[in-house]
Amino acid sequence: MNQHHSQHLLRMILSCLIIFFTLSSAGCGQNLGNNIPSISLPKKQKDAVALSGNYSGAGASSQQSAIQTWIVGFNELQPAVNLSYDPSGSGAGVATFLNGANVWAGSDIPLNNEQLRNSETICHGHTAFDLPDYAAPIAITYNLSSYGLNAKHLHLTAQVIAEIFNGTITNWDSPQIKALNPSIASQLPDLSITPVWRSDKSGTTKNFEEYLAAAAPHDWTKTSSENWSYQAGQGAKGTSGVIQTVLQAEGTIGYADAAQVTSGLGIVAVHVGTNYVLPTDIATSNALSQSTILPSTTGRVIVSLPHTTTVANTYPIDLVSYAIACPVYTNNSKAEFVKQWLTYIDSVEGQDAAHMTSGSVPLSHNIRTKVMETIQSIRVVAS
Amino acid sequence: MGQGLEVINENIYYGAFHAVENVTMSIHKNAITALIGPSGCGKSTFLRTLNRMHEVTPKAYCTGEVLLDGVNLYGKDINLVDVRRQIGMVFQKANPFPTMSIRDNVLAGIRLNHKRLSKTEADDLVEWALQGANLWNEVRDKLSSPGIALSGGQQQRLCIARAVAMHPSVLLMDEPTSALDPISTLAIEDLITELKKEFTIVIVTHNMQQAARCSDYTGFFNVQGNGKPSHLVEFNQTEQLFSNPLQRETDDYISGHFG
Amino acid sequence: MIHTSSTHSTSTFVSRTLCRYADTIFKYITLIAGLIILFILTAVTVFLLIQAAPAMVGDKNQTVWAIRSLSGGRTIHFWTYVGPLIFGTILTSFLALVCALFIALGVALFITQYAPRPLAFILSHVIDLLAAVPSVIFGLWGGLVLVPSTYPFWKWMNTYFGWIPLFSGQASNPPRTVATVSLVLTIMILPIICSMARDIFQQTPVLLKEAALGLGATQWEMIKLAVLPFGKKGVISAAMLGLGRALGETMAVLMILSPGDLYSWKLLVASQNQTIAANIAAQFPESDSAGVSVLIATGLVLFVITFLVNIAAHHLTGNAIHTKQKNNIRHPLCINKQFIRCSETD
Repeated sequence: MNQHHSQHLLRMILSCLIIFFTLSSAGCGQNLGNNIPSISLPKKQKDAVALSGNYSGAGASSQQSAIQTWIVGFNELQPAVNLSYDPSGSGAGVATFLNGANVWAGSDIPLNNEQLRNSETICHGHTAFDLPDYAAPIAITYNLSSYGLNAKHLHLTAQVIAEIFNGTITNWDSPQIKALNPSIASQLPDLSITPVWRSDKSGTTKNFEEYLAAAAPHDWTKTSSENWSYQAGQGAKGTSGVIQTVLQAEGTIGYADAAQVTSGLGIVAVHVGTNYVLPTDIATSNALSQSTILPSTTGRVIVSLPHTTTVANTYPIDLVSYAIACPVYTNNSKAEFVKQWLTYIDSVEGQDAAHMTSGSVPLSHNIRTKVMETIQSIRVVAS
Repeated sequence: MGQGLEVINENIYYGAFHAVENVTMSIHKNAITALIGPSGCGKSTFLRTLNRMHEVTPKAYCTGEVLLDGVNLYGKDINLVDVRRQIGMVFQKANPFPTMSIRDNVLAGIRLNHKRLSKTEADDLVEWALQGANLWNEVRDKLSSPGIALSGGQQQRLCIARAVAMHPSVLLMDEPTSALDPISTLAIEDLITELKKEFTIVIVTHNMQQAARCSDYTGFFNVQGNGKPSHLVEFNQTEQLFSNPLQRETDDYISGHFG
Repeated sequence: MIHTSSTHSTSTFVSRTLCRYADTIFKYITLIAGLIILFILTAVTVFLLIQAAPAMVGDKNQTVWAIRSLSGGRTIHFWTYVGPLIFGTILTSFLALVCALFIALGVALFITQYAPRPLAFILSHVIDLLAAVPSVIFGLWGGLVLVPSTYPFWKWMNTYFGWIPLFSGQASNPPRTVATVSLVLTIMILPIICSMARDIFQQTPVLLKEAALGLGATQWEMIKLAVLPFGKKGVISAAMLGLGRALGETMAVLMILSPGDLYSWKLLVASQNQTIAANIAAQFPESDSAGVSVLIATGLVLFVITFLVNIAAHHLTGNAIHTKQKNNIRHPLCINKQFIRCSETD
């Protein structure tokens, strides 16, 4: 009897924990599904061809929550289409795109040269393009709760951030931090800093490192990559891992998607120009508006963020994630689907919908204009 | 030197089951006492109570007294371990320790006593015990080879040497030759005849001819029917018991009418 | 004369034939079963070799680029990349084995030699239940519960035993360290070793135990004389099985350990070591094909390590079998070899 009870209980706990784990490893916040406010319903495009069939994508887990929202929204337009997205990671997603298993891929970083070359097979002689479809601020979060500092936003410059994360500054009451935060200098404890970084390959890491390399080049000398470059502190798997680690001990500081930072943890205000900026929607939106787009002859829209901007109320540490697809198809309905899908997700309505549910920031006008140009160039050729 | 055992009114139980009832006998020192009887008559059970080995079986217990030199082995403050060091046992199937050498097997019991022996003392003891067990000449060159590398008869003699090395007062033997061939059996029978000069020996045997050959005293156990406990039918000097048994049962058993 | 009872002879003929062929059929079924195992093992090995081939002998540039990316710019050579991973794998596994072995033996001895029957029954089933808990659960429990709650203990170890190199350095907070991981791994492999040890100790021949008791041994002395030597080879085998599980454990390490790429003995400091299996799980999702090849090559290294551990285990336990056969007493019936198959020593 006892054994049956304990086994039943174990099974219940098991299933609850598995669900919890799956949700928290989704990489993004809530998945509200059907609760899209009416303002964000997609406009029915004139002369839109009715589509049907199954289409699948795979790639970065950062976009997952947004894509779930977009799938629901797209089904309003095209009820007969069955969509799915596998958040298997940028690398895996691009790989399945290149071998034709998926129609599009989500990736935190643009395609590299080798992947571009390989895309010529699947794109019938043309190279694939990357279009930004998701942008979110990367917050720098810390835990000094028992010192009453979590509610107060620490002021840090790019140099000090770089020195903290590369292990040069090792204590919270070091003079550099105190100098930047005179009003709370006395509250800063004599506690060693534990930087927390992503132990798995991550676009968030790459974007954060790119910021540090651009804004603090003397202190951040390693080339930015998806793998964290330094040894100081601890590595954790996934956004949830980083946040959990920051939560579990005081003195920790890490970087993660701002939408997923648990309330109660401290968030750093980053020095830009003459002021200190928090990762708000407006500040991120400003950063996107100030971004430049790298020139491309093949329709690629690669965003270069203004890491060293001095314009007020701009938050320079952001993640921009891309949708990768082919410009050329032999199948009419496939081409039509990709066109309509990309148009929707990069539309104002689509971006707003994603903003509501996943905490992303809608793409700025300049980016969207370029994106629409590339989408228009999608065409069908004879096989 | 050997000592005598007095058994007074011993009853053996397995839980609620009464296995053997009311045994009273005197085991004479420096003599061989044989216990005979048909299968399941409780002679092995009784033997094991003499050194309290029956307590290894859960729920087995006995009442009554067993006196070794006047001291009741079942007394309140008697240490079980001391009892077994004084009263050694050789089992039906030879059981040398398989991972130990012959030398270590002989010394196993002594080492349990935490006695510190110098190397020469230990060597002397090993030689003495193996001589006593009539095994010395066969193994003197291979004392460090494993104990199980010997034949069955040799292993049993090794076990006897191991028991003898403890210098026990009494040596109990539970059907020691039942698993051996006739030649080994003869060797061991000769051995225990030698050993009785130094030790008191109680031997359980299924083979009454063996009892007739070797022993000085014999006790005959018998069952009393289904569900009833076994009992000691007769205990006498061997010659008397075999030539002129006092009980009808004994006579029937000896002449082979049952068994 | 022609037999009149032809049906009788046919049916006996059929049943006799079936009897004869049943033996052959069974023999072939068991042969096929054995071959299937071999086939699966070969298939896995071939898969590993093929997938790892690009990293070993393929396009050098791609491999170099992949290794540089995977190692965060630290190195471009495969063995420099995988060296610390091998070290971390062996460190965590052997630590777990040492701790688990002693506890498991203690529990197994308690269950078989000391505990009253009802308690032994309950304990046995609890241990078996523990073995059924999935690795993910252990990882979650370790990461969510054990990590935050064990910091005081590690701090204490660091303060008073910091002079021992193993416990030197500054105890990390949160303690996502090799120490915590080894603790969780110990709990994971404990049931395996305990179950097997329990079964082995239970099989100790009563005669052997009585031999020890008859000489005047206490319970513990009897265990030392009879039970432990008898079970030694089986316990080693159980330990190797537990070690195998620890070597390949992925989820628990992934969810608890803060990884590093150093050859470090400091158990209480985070970001020192990483295991091969956890590294593959962490890096695989975001890797391109060259990266996947490199990761599978590290998997191949783990495969070889496990293989070597198993060979060592067989060597340690197999020896006993050979010695026993050599020293087998001649079976009485061997004198006339017609009746039974005698071993080669007869």
